[in-house]
Amino acid sequence: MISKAIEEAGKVILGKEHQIRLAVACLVAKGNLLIEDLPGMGKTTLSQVLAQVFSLSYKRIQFTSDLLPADILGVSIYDKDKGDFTFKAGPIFAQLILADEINRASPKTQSALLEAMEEGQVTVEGETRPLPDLFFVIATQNPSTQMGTFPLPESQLDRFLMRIHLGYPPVEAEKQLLLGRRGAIAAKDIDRIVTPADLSMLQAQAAEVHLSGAVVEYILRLTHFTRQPGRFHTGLSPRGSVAIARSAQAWALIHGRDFVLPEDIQTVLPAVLDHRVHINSAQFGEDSGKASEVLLSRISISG
Amino acid sequence: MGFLPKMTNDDAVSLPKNTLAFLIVSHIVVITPHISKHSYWVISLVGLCLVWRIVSNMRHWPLPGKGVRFLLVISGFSAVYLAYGTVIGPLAGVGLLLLAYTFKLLEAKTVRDAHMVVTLSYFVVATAFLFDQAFSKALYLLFSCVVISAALISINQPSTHWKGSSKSAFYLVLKSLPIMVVLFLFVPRIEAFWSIQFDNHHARMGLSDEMSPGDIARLGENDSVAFRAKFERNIPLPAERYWRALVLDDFDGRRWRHADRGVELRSLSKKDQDATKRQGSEYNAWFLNRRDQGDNYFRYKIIMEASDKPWLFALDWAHPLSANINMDDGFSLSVAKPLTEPFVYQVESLSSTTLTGPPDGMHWQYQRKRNLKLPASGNERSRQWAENVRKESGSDEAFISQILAHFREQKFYYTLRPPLLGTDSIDQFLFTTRRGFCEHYASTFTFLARSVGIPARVVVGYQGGEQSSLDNYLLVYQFDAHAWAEVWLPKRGWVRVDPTAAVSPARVEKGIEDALGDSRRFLANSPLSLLRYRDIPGVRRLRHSIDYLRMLWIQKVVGYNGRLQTDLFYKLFGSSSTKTVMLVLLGGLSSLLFLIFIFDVYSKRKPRMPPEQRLYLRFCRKLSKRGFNKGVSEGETAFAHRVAVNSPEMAEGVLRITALYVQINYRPLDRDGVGRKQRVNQFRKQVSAFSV
Repeated sequence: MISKAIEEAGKVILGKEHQIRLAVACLVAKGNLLIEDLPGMGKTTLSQVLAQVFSLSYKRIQFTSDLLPADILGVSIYDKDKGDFTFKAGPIFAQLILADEINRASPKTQSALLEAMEEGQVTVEGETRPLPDLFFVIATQNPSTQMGTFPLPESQLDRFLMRIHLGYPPVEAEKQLLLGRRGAIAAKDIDRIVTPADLSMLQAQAAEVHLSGAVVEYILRLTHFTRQPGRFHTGLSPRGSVAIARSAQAWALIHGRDFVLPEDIQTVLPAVLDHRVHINSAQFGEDSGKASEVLLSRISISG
Repeated sequence: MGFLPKMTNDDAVSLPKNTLAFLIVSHIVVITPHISKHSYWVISLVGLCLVWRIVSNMRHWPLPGKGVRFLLVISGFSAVYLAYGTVIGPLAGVGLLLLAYTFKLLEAKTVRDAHMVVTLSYFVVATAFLFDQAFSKALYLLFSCVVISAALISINQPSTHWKGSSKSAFYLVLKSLPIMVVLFLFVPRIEAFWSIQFDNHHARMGLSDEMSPGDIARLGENDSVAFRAKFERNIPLPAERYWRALVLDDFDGRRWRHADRGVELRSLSKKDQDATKRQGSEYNAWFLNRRDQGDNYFRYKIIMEASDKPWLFALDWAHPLSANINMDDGFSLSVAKPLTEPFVYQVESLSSTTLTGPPDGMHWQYQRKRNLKLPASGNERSRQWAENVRKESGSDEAFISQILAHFREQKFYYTLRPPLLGTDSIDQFLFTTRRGFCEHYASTFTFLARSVGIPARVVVGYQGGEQSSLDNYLLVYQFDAHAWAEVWLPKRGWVRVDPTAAVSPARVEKGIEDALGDSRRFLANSPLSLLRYRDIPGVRRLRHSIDYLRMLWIQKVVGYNGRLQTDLFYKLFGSSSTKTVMLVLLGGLSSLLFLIFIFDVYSKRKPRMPPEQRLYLRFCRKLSKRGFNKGVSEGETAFAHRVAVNSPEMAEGVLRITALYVQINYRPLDRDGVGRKQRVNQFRKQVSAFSV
């Protein structure tokens, strides 16, 4: 089922199978996804495809510098006929939200979204309203070097389970793109493979995937390494280490296993770790690369 | 001054429940070996206090007040006095110590008291060695130390579970064992201090220095080991195994006694007194002469159990090699004091096959008188009969063979349960009952010989011995006890005559259990004796192994004395001066402590790798011979695929082994019912079988 879904999504987004798998793993692990890339790389398409494949209701919020929290959450409007206020739900009351260019909005608006993500409910005008059970946010972000952006602070980034980059498509895929829509399929045309009920079940299964003692030790070693003074600007939070475990569990599940291998951890590690911790280049040298690279080359798998 | 810790706080803290339970358990453990050694007065007082403490703790009674405690102390002293008639001396001392220890437990209220009780426990444990130094006892006392140490740990860490405290105590005692060995080997031995004599309440079974009919038969029921003889080269044949203990040369008509030499010596003339003094050196000269002329001789070591008697055992004709062993005019060996603990000595013996004793020159007139002496009257019929036989036979030798032939040809029986004999016991046995054990035959024969003027005497000792299946030594049991006769013949000296052998040759050739023929009779009163099941080969070996351990224990540990220690120092360090002793002790102890310290640090630092990890590393070492080195952070499966791609001929094995490792290390346990242990074993086999 899962592999079929991934295959179906691959029909639209050409040559990005790994990123699709990570996105699906993130969805199965009940996490939220941050896609960071330049405009026009297919971020929007990816989220549309996921919504379609998993049969989720889909809303898109385009973040701009003048977007207000009420624009996301909804407002109460006076109804003349009833003589009362009625709540007009905002776009956040959907199962899959695409928060496009989240770093273009003001911090106040950003945090309204992030709090909703974290708590699974929103409070509007003193009244608490629950969000759907399946609630998945894909936020996209332009690289912070672009003009007119409010970069998300690290504490906010921590709330995203994974951050992925799409990157340029491979030559073959781009060639097909240029050859026009012949052969290629639009997002709305692909089949719905997974029902929301199936997805709930998968999420429950992912939490049951076996984490052996050896694997837990490995995660602890990775985490411990980041917390040594001087190596990283900040160490990995407990939420971060839980994120590694959950992502690896989901990754193992969508690859048909009911137990986690060290390789699962290694595969998801860049997506889970690199937006959370940043290496201290004074310690490792300028060209030391990302935090995950340092960890993967240094931390041994067994003892 | 707030920063100073309150040192006395700890002492006033009352005892946690756990600790008290531990103290009570260790008290029971410590007291147990003493129960059989002490009088009921003392033991029941100890038990009463213990029960009191347990009940008062359960019912939350207050602890005994001053008056009660005073009363207890008084009754303690009275109990010891009642039991031993004194309050000083080792046994009474230990009794008082036991009571003091128990009273302290009864009144223990604070942590400080508990420490006191623990210290006393260690002390009481050590005193158990004063009574018995057996191997099993040593093991038990080590166990006691573990229990006491666990109690000590629980005093200081009251929240630890009892299993945890016991485990740490066990390791603590284990770590202290090497220190114990060094102290045992090298601390200078002060001999005199420990040679305290204990009056033993339980007289040990064994030979005694007098013999009346039935005495030795009683030993026939006893299956404990009397001694062991470890031979340097060959072991004598069964018929040669006559272990002399003592000669009995004074007969009162019923009972044979070892004649009192002191009284006799004072009545001797000057010349005879000088002769007795020369006797020892003459015998030695004769022995050495015979030995050096190439007579067959045995050299062996006797490892004896405590007998409470001063005499030793040896084959005829013996020559002691160990110091401080005396030999009397009956050629039997003895030491100055009764042996209350196991004893080891070395002897040489001339082979007695020739049946020829020491030269006749060594038989003096006064001895002749002693060995011919009979009661003035009694057993007239036997005397008369002997007279007639002597007349018929013509010579002393012929007389002896005539008597033996009589025993052999007439209906005489060898039995452990002979009928009781009246006043003229010799007459009654010779002509009426004709059923007897060895002492009946030896006694009757000696009587007959004396009555016709042949100097004769009874010798008691052991005959036989079972060869151990473990080493070149003989085991001689109490039921091997035997009595035989010795006659003095001109030109030949003392000659051994065993009338029992004439009646029952099997007794001498094969041993008592064969001679009695009825194995249900033999050891009938000890159904649990391993000897009863001697026909089962495993049991035999087990019995021999147990005795072998015990023998080693007696020889190497109990028998380790100052002289052996000096020898050891010379052998290891070439000197036994005080300086050497100090250096060895200090060096040994400090290096041991250092090793223990290193061990502790190491074992805390590096937790032991689980077996599958070690096996996997072994697998990786094998692969690295082919140039495949696993990166530290390379996943096992990824590594296996890399190897498989690069050398397809190994792919199958590598993938299979890796899959198994992954299964053990990462999969949930209850997958297919195969236990983790079995999987690890399977993994071990596959890794061992794997080759590049």
